[in-house]
Formats: sequence, C-alpha cells, structure tokens
Amino acid sequence: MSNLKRSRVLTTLTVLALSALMAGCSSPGALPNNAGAKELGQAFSVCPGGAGEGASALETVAATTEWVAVAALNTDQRPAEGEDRTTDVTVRTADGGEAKVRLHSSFWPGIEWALAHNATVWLAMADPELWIPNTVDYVMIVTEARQVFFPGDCLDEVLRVPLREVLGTEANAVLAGLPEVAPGEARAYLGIEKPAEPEPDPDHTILNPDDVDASVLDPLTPLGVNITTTGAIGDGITFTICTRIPAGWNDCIMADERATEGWNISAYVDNTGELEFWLLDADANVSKPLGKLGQVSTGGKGIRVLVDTSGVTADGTIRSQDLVQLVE
Amino acid sequence: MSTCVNATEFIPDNFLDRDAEAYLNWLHSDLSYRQINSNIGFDNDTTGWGGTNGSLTVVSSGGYSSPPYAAFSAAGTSADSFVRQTIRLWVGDDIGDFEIRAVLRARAPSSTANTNVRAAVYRKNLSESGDTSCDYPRGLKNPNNLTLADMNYIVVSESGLVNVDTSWTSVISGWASIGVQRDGYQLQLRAYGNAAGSGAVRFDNVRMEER
Repeated sequence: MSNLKRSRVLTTLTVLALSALMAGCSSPGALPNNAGAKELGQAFSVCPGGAGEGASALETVAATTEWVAVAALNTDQRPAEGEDRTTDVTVRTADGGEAKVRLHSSFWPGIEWALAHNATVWLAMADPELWIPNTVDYVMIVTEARQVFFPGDCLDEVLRVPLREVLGTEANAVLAGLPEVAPGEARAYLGIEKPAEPEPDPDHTILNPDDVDASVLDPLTPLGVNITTTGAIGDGITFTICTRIPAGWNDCIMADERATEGWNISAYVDNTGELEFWLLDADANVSKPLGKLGQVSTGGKGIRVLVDTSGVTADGTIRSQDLVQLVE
Repeated sequence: MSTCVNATEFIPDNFLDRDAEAYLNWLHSDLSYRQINSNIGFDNDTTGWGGTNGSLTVVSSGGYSSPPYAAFSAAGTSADSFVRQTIRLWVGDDIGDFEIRAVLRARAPSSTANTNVRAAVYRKNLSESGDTSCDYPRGLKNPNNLTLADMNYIVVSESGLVNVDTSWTSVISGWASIGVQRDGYQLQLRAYGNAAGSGAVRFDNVRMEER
C-alpha cells in the first residue's frame, strides 16, 4: 500500500473514531441530520484497500441518465452483516411506486441512515447496455441540510472527494440538483465542455459500410480487385498493401508469400476511376501510411494488378511510386 | 482459456447481440470448428447481417437446415457484391494463435441463372486503452476508455469462386491463422455472390468457424 493510501486509510479510521466519539455513540448510524458531507461520506464508505485509479468522477455522475428516488427498502432482503455482493431488492420509490433493483450490500447502511434522517436517497442506475438491467451503479444521498455523500465501498474517495475538488464550495448544491436535470443536459449543468465533433477526415476514413456513413459510400462504385505481388516484403508479416481513393481507404492484403498467389478484394472508386495502392504497417493503420506504391485507372470496372515488390526494401523503403501495373 | 465473462451474466437477457454470441462461443464452446458469429441460419431475420452493393432479404421456407434462408440480390458481380456480418472478438487472456475460415451453403435462384459464390473473412486489429482487468463487460462492449486505432480490413481467408446450381452447395475458404498479438479482432465475414440475369443468390448457414 502506498504511503498516500495508507495515510488516507489512517485518516479515514481516525475520522471515523472521532465522529463516533463526537456523536456520543459507537455507530455511524447515530450521526445527526445536520452532519457534514465529509463526515457522512467517511462514515458510510469504507475503503481499506484504497480506491485505486478510476474514471473521472465528474464524467461518472454526468453519465448517469436514470435516477430513482427511494422512500423505503424491503428490509427482509437486507444482506447479512459482512456480505459483499449485489442482490435483488424491492424498493418503494418516492412517487409511491415499486421497483426491483440490484443493490450492492455496501450501499445499505448509508441508505438506512438517510431514510431514518429525512434525507433523500437517489439511486443512480447503471447503463443497461453495459450492466445487467436494473443494477444500481452508485447511490447519492442529499441530507436535510443539503449535504451530499455517496455511501458504499470506496465511493467517498471515488466520487465525493474528487467532485468536491472539481466543483469547489458549490459541490453540494450542484450535486443535489443533478437528478432534476433533464437527460442530455447533465454535462452542461456540470460545466463539462462539449468535445468538438471531429471533422470527417478522408485520411482516416475506412470505406466499409460498418465504419462509415452510407452517404460517403453512395456516390462511389464498388468493384473487384485482384492483387498479386511478385514476392513478400521483408518478413512477410510486417507490411500490408491497401488501396485508397481521395474519399478514404479500401481493403488490404498482407504483403506475404500468400500474396504471390493473388487475393481478391473489393474496392470503392469515385467517378475518376483512379485507384491508389499504398504500403502500410502490419495493422493496416491508415494514420501512418508508409508510402504510395502506385496508381491505376480502373475505368470503373474490376481489375487485376501486379505489384512489383522488388521496389520495396525489407524495412519498407519504397524506391518508386510506379510499382503497380494493370494485368490484362 | 479466458474467463472474462460467464454465461450466467446473461440470464436476464433473452437475446445476445452478435458480439456477445460470438464471444460466448469463443469462450465456452468445446466443439470443433465452433462458429463465432450469430444468426448463421437467418432464423432471426437479417439481424446482424448487411448487404453491400445489393439487397438482402430473408425467405421463410426452403432453407438448408432450418426453414429460413437469405436471398441476396446483387447489384454487381461476385467480385464486389456481398453479404456481411461483423463481430468484435476481444482476446482476453488467451495466448494461443487460432485459425479461422468462412463456410456457407449457397444455391442459384434458377437452373438458368449462372451463379458464382465466394466466401471470405477479413480482420481488423483492435487495441484498447485502459488497464481494467478482465471483468464482466470485457469482450462485449468495453466501457473502459475503449479506443480504436484507424486500422483497415485485411483479407485473411477466401474461397475460390464456386459455381453453384439449384441445390445447396458448400463453399468453404481455407483455414487462416491469426496470431493472438493484439487486444482483439474485428472480423468481417463476407459471402460474395451474384446471379446473372434475374433472381437472387440464396445463402444459408453462413458462418465463421474457429479451431
């Protein structure tokens, strides 16, 4: 354990002990309605092993799109002391309804304190596309005194502390209002700048229906290309040969021995019919093309080409840009 | 073998998306030549499938091993018109290379339609950032700072051009080895086919097999 983490744990334990003494009892459950967020967070979020690194706390709360306000838990479903698992729990929602959620055992003490002390309990529901539906990602509690804390293993370190650092003195007020913010507006509410939409970049566009919008492919003409090489380049596993047009990149072949037998790939061409051939690395990473091997005119119809790989050295140096010939 | 995901995690879900189905086959199947794509017999309509340079529909009876099959009306030729399915296969903690091939059944729409078919597999290497260890979401959708480099499709296996008649004919590509050297692979299965004149080439049991 690092000195920093050990220090945090010791601090946590010290604060817990002091809190208990100040409250005149041995249980965090006896903390008063007007307890502070820090005090409550540390009391209801134990993290003996340290939280480790994780995603941005601000991004985490901004990503929550479903909040469920809870009025009661079915205490018959309370996990036994010491259990560390997620279980199905039926909850009564603040609007009088009922819901079944998957709740981690470490959330229970904080929620029970909140329900007994007139605080508001918000269940932040996990993304159902990533997790089993109805799983509670984390719990946010807003006290009567508008203090905000996150019960559950390590969540004080993971959420409250970094959010306090980012949001400053307004953290409690901002977080308390977050569940009321319309979906889609949370990032703006939290002051997260919207990332600029990347401009379509033909240098990185993959001309495949699963990778690019149909509007890019619609004006183009697909055709078949048979590529044969005169030999492997280098060790045969370090390089690929890909075809390209100004709108983006078509399919590739490995520049290995197998290529001397010929491959049949598909390619899109635009109304010029021109098709470029490029040397790329073994991943066919179009961000880092190694060089142009040649260019042919397809006339908008399927073609056969021969790539003279003797014009490329084993380290990928291209001696000529006229290494691709049409084969009748 | 990876243990990144357990089948029990999906009990609440009635339908696995194609990546999930592929990944669970990869993890848990003990069959030889296990399939690693989904909806191979088009029993779930065209889910997971798309048509490139042509249109894809599903016919409800007359398939090879179950009633449905796919009918593909190519706009071009067997060199540039194909049915495709793409899946992502995160490697997890597997260390051994694997081999893959494309397998399908095809038949011509009529005895007078000269129909040519080819099966192929393409791959795109995947990489991910982040250091989260192999837990439940891994392999399906990765919430952990997933980034994909700008990598392109590389053909890894293709069959010869097979002329098919009106009976269901097997078309198989050769086995191709894929080294487990990346975080994962995006695999695209392609069934190329044209039916000269009118009519649409029929496909069924279109799959990628792994051994």
